[in-house]
Amino acid sequence: MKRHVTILSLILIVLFTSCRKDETATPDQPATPTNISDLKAPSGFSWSTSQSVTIEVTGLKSNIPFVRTLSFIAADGTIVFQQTHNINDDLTAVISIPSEVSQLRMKFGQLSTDLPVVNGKLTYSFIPVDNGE
Amino acid sequence: MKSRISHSLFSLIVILGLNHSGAKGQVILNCESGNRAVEQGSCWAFGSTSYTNTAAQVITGNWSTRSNQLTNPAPTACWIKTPWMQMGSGNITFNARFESTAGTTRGIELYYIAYDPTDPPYYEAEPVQFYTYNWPKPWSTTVAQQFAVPIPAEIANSSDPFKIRVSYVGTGGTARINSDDFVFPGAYYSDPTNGCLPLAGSVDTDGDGVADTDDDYPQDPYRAYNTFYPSAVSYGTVAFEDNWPAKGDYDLNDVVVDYRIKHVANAQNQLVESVVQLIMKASGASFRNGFGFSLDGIASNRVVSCSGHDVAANSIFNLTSNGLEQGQTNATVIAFDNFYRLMPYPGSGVGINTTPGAPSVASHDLTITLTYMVNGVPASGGAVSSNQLPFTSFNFFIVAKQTRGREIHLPGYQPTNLVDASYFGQDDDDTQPSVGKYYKTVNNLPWGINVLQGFDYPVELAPVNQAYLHFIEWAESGGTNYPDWYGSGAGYRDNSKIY
Repeated sequence: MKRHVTILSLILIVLFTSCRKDETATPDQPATPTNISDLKAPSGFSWSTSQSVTIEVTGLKSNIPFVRTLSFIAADGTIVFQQTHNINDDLTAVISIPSEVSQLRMKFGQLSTDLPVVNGKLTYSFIPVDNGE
Repeated sequence: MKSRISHSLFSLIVILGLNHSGAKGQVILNCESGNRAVEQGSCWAFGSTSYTNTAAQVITGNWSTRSNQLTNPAPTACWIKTPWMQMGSGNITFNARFESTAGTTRGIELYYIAYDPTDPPYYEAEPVQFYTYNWPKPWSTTVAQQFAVPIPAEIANSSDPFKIRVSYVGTGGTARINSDDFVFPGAYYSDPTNGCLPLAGSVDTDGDGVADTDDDYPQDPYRAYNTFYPSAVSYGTVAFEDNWPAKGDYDLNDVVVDYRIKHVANAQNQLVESVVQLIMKASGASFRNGFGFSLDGIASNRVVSCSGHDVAANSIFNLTSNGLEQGQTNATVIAFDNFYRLMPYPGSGVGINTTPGAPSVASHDLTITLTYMVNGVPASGGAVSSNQLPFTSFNFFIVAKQTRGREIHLPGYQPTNLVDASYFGQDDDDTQPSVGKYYKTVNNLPWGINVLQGFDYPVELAPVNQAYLHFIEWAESGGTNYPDWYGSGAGYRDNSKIY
């Protein structure tokens, strides 16, 4: 009798164990194709290792012109954008930089500041925060 | 009084830091920016003085200044201070008016402040008072008092930097003073990019308005800036398949060309020339292919001349006298008409520089110069500004099989006028101009690729994904995964598949 109870218990354990959902299983995913002809790329993909970045500079818009060279420079020293600029003017320009670049240094006169690339944009405003005096 | 200062005159003075006695212009504060921070950005300073656009408080225009309640006789309590200036001569002028009449005394005091290089962070010497006005009663809240205060002789027309402080003083009551239309004879001499310190002297040898320290051509007034793509010391690579509109073997070596572009611009941000350096690397093709690029958005008549290309006289291409291709809306350059003519077949293997073991052929360099402006004079179609021709507007393409209309561009780029549009939609091509889809298959595969960082191309018949082991993951993710797939890190390449 004791032996029968043991066998029945084992059967029940096996049954319940086998019925439990396997939460560690990996859901079905399409395998990465090994043949390039089977590859499907997103429709907007440019097949370039560069990124298009829009520079948006907000000018001071004061009545005092101040003209200097405005440059955007990569970490390796490459000047990716450079032009004469009046501090009062807005500027919008599109540049192409390597896709791995996440920030550029902006130089204007004696000013030098690092700007991050955020959602394909580099933004800077020459209007300071009011110092509140 | 609210007119803007002459831009050109001020630019010259500011850039060169010159002392033009008697012609220094004016520095104006009229508050019309509506934002005190704008003036702070130009190095004005304000102590307990704000801007107001309340109609009863405005003196002229839409905005004026508004002092705090003037219950303090100290000149440091409430004030406006100019940027550093080189003072001219004549009168400092401004208007002021009371907001109310509640108060005991009110006055205005003017001070000049010399530069003291030993007193950081503002480098201001002790202010020197040179004007005092004590308002007699009754105070008017409707008529503005006009002030005209001579610049003291000891600072007039000086080349040294000074600031002027206008202080509002008073005792008793709540009356405030509104003021407006400040005019200070002299030249602006602050550097807002350097903590508002006085301008440092700079040299501009060629007088083009760009200081020598920033000028790549300090002795040439017609040139100022070089900008390189991808950089002054590296090349990008464009690599094409030439079997369009059918798919090829995706070894991306049918035409491989390295490129570097240099823009030369003048001080007005107009392009003077573009210098396109090309290195012909490989052609793993049996077809005889040409190579060129168009300048998207730039009409042919905006280019004075093109030189440095190598196109045989009896080729399939027709060029104009200025070196561009005939019949094109956008300026189009044919860099070379036939890869095999400039880099001959070595006698064995498939193509040129793609079959391991076959003799290698020395690469061939071309330096193509596009001139937009000569001695400051642009082409008949007008000047090209730097922003009108970003580097991404260089639209590289090959012309396959010595058939002019068989024009193959990088994905997403539009063809030139001379493409044979009947190829669109044939075989594997899924070009759909109506939706802006160009040179891609149904699965969005390309016939060309642009690697800004440079590209070691695959050997003949080795698909690029067998040479670069993360290429497919990069492409399927739209460039998100393995953006450095072209790298040489462990597990990235099969070097046996790379030439």
